[in-house]
This record gives sequence, C-alpha cells and structure tokens, in this order.
Amino acid sequence: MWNKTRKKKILIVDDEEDFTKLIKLNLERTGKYEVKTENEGSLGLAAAREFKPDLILLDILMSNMEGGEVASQLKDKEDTKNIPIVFLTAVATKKQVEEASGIIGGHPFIAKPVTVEELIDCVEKNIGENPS
Amino acid sequence: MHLIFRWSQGNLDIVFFIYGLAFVVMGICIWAQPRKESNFRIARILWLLAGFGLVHGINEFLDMWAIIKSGSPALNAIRSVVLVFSYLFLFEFGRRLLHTYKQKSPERITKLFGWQLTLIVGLTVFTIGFISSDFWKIVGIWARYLLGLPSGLLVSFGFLVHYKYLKKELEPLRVNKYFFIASLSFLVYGILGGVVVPKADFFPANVINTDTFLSVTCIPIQGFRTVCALIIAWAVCGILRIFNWETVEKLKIELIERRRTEEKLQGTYDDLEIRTKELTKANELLRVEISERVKAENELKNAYTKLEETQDQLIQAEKLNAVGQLASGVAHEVRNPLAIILQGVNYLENRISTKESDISETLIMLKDSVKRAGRIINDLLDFSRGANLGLQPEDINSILESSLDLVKARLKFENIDIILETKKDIPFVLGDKNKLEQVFINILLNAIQAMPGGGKIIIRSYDKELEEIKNGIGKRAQDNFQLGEKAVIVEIEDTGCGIPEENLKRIFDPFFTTKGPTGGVGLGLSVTRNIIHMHRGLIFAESKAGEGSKITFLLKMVQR
Repeated sequence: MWNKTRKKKILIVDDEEDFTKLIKLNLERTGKYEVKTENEGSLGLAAAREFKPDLILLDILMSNMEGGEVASQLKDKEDTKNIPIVFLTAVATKKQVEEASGIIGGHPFIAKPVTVEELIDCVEKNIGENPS
Repeated sequence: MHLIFRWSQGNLDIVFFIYGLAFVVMGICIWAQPRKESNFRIARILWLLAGFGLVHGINEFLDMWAIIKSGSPALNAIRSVVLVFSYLFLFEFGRRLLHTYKQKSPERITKLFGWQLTLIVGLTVFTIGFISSDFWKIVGIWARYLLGLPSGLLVSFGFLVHYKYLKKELEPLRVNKYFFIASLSFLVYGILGGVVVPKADFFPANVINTDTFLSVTCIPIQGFRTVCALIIAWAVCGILRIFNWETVEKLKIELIERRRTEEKLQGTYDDLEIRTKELTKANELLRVEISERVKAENELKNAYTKLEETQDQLIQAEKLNAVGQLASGVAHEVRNPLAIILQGVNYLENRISTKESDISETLIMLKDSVKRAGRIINDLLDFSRGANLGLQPEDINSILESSLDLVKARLKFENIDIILETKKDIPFVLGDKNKLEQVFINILLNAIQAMPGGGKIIIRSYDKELEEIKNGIGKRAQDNFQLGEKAVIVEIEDTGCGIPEENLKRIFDPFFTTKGPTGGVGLGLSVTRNIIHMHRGLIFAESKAGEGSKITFLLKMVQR
C-alpha cells in the first residue's frame, strides 16, 4: 500500500532554468510525482545516481554536455542503466518525431513545445519501477 | 708553157684580179668568222691577217688598175704605201703568232721580238727610201726585203708551231693539214714576194728580180704568186673551221648542260609533286585534327556550361544549407521559450479559476498562439531543409499510393472519391521518396480542403515526350527539360472551388495563403515547389474558379 501511493521520482535535465521550474511545478501539482531539476548535463549523472529517479527527462542540445552523451553515461553505470529516459527536445520537429514513431536512439522522444497533458501521457507510458 | 706565157702576158690584169680577189676574200672570210668568244689564242690576232688580206688584195687591185689604166706617179706612190702597210700587218701577225707560245721559247728571244721590232723595221724601210733617189720604188723593194720575206717566214714558222701545239686538240677536226699547208704556202709566198723584187741597180735586186724570173720560167712571178695566194686563202679558210668546230663544241656542251638541267628540273619537279602530295596529306590530317579539336572544344564548352550549372546548384544548395542550419538554430532557440510559455499557461490554467470566460479565453488564445508559432517554425524548417535531397530511382506510383494512405483517414471523413489513372510499369523517377510524399500529401490536403462538401480527386501518372515549349521546357541549357525529352508526368485534379485567376500565379509564393490566420502559414506550396525544383522537375497549376484545379508535375526519368 505504501508502495502504491509512493510518489514517482522524475529527474529533468535541461539547461533552460525557467522550463525546468515550470515542469516541476506542473508535475508536482498533480501530486503523483516528485521532481528534481538539474540544469547542467555534466551533473546529470551524479544527480541520477543520488536521486535514483523512476524516469529521466533529458534535453538533447545543452551547452555543457549533450543529452546523448549523458544518456550513454547513464547506460554505462550499473545503478543507472535501467532507468528509462525520455528525450525532451527542441531540436526536432513533431513531424520528425512522428516519423521516427517517437523513438530516437532507442529512447522515447517528445518535441517542444509540449502541453502538460502530453507530457504526463508520455511519462506514464514510459515510467518504470525503481526498486530502490 | 708557151701558151701560159702568152696568155698571162696578155691578160696580166685578169691575173692580178684573181690575185687580189684571193686575198680580199680571205680577209673577208676571216673578218666574217665569229671568233669573239673563242678560246683559241690565234683568234685574237687573226684580225691582223685579215688586215693583211684586205690591204694586200687592194694592192693587187691597184696593180691591176695600173695595167688597165696605165701607171702614174701618184698611183705608184699609193701602191707602195699600200704594199708597205699590208706587209706591216703580216709582219705583226707573224710576230704575235710566235709570241703566243712565248712560254715555250727562251726569255731573250721573246724580248727580241717585241712590238717595237715592227716599228723599227717599218721606219728603216722608209729611211732607206728617203735616202735614195726613187723614194717609192726603193721603199717598195726594201719593204719586200725587210718586211715581206721575214713576215712570210714568221707566219710560216708560226703556223707550224701552232700546228704542233694544237695537234692533239685539232686532230679530230682534221684541220692539221690546213695549218701545214698554210705554213708551207706562206713560206713560198714569202720567198716569192720578198726575194723576187722589181729590178734595181743594187745587190741583190740586180741579180734576182722579176725580169730574171720571167726569163728563167717564162711565167711572170705574179702567176706563181696568184697560185700561192689561192692556196693561202684556201688553207686559211680551212683553218677558220676550228671556230666552227669550237662553236659546235660549245653548242654540244650547252646542249648537254641543258639536258642535265632539264633532268635536274624534272627531278625537282618530281620531288615537288611528292612534296605536294605529302603536304596535301598533311593538310588533310590537319583538317581532321582541327575538326576533332573543334569537336573537343565544343564538348569542353558543354562540359563547362554543365559545370557552371552544377556550380550554381551547389551554391544554391549551400545557401539553403546555411539557411537550414540557421533555421535549425533559430528553431531551437525559439522553441525553448515557447515551451516555457506553454508550460506556464498550463500551470495558470490549473491555478487560476476559469469560471470567468475572459480568463479561460485568454489562456486559450495564449495556447493557440504558441501552437501557431510552433507550426511556423516547423514549416520554416521544412522550407529550408529542401537541400537535403536523397535521390534514388523510385516508382512514382508507389509513392502516390503511400501518400494516399497517409491522408486516407481525412478522405473518408470528407466524403471524397479517389480515381487512380496510373500507368502500369511507368519508368522510374529520380527522387527523394519522403520529400515527394510530403509534396503529394500537401497537394492532396489542399484538394481536400477545397472540397468541403465532398467531390472527386483524380490522380494520373504517365510518361510522355515533351513537345511544347513552356516555362522550363525548351532548347536552352538552363531549361529543366529539353524539347523532345521524355519525362514522367503526375496530375492531381480536384472538383473543388478552384483558384481565382488573380491568385493563380501567386499560389507558389512563400507565405501566400487564402486560408486565413487559423489555416496554414502559406508555406506548403512554396515548399512543394522548392522540393520539385530540387528534383530538377517542374510544377504547373491550372484552375477554373468554381470547377476545380489541376496540379501537374514533371519529373526526371531514369531507365529501369
């Protein structure tokens, strides 16, 4: 019972601070999620290992380190390789997302700008169970 | 004998005539003989012999005159003078005759026989005459002794020497006998004329004279002299043959020379013919080379033109690429703020009471604006991404089918019939499958939107040889298609509301739209046209307001 009502943990790594703030607000407002924000790609790995999220929302084009790089780092580590990642990016068009059926580099993919409803939809589809 | 004596005594004038004639004729013959270019040394001095002949002949004519008209002191004087001068001629001739071979004779003899000798002897004769009582008679006699006899001897000896000298050369001519006879006869004449003088009262003229000769031989001396003269004349004329021979020889040599020259000329001519043939051949080869060069030049020009075209296309692609990259950057930069706005609006939606319609309307407007901005950015990206073309041979019919599949849902919904008139086994088209799908989807969506109450869409595909000159079809290098070229043609026709004429030429312009602010952004057809042009194809639009529209595509064909 406790597990069922435990809030799912979401880590968002994106260098747009306002964006991450608003995502946190909107997702936590639903009461289902606990959101941690990280604005530097290079710190994303450490944040993931510490926070142990159930899903990571990852921006691709970041100034410090690219999202793809972060993703591969996460895949390398034992404790983070099973965490599902959703790319959340302004680089591709919705059309490209549709063409690629929402999956790029093996990971799901959402194109900005995105509504909260679409976001929550995708999160629920991809979130996993982190036993810890 | 007696008869001759009698006759000659009576006709001495005739004798003298013949006598004189012989010498004159000899003189004339020598004179007339061309000997200017002769190589014979004798040629140069023969004029003296001619002079002797003529003057001595005149002397005899004067003797004849004296007999006919009987003498006078004046005539005697003239006769003596003429005689002396004739002998001077002969003496000088004889002297020079010997001189021509002065290299054979010793030095002192030649010195002795200088021209001065003739002069001295001549003067001596006149001096002796001067100191005597009968000037002219004494002069005549002593001329004979001092000039006549020696000159005869000189000439005789001279001819002999000449004969010996030229023996080898003249042998083929058989003129040797003439030289020999001339020599002999001049000797005799020298004696007859130089020793047997008119009677005088000093030695030896008192012993040996014409009278004593007559009494001994019963024939006057002139008779013998005449015979001698005739022989001399004959012999000299024979000698003159050498010049004829020389001329003939010269002609022969000239002829040989000429023949040789002719042969050389013929050789040169043959050479020339060969050369001319070679030149003609070389000329031909050059011509062929030139025409090949011209051909190569033209090919080069064409290649260059194509290169320029390709360069232009590359530059265009480069530009679009740059624009594309810029657009990508811009898109990213714009989308992030848009995302923030949208998230913010979502938050406000949930936090603010939406009971008031103002608030909810405002929030909806905000969301729509964000969406619209997003669409514009997408379309702009599409528009600028046209340069990334992956051309492959494709079956246009299958692309049309897949495009139809993608809009099927909308078609059913809008009550529209599809009629397919596609050619089976149509030639492949060189194209980018995704982009062409984008194009056809765009056109199909436009067609659907033009028939809100339903209608028909006809899709045709075929290949055809282009015969009409249009925009982009012609004979120029920059035309996408050449006249006579085969192309794949796709037509998408609808029975919709059509396009008014004033809009027809603007429909492909970027940002031109008749759909209003909530419709598309107006980039669809310009993107479409861009894609088709990147395929080096053509797109045409025809429409009649109220009846429908037809979009025609011309695409490059590839062999299957």
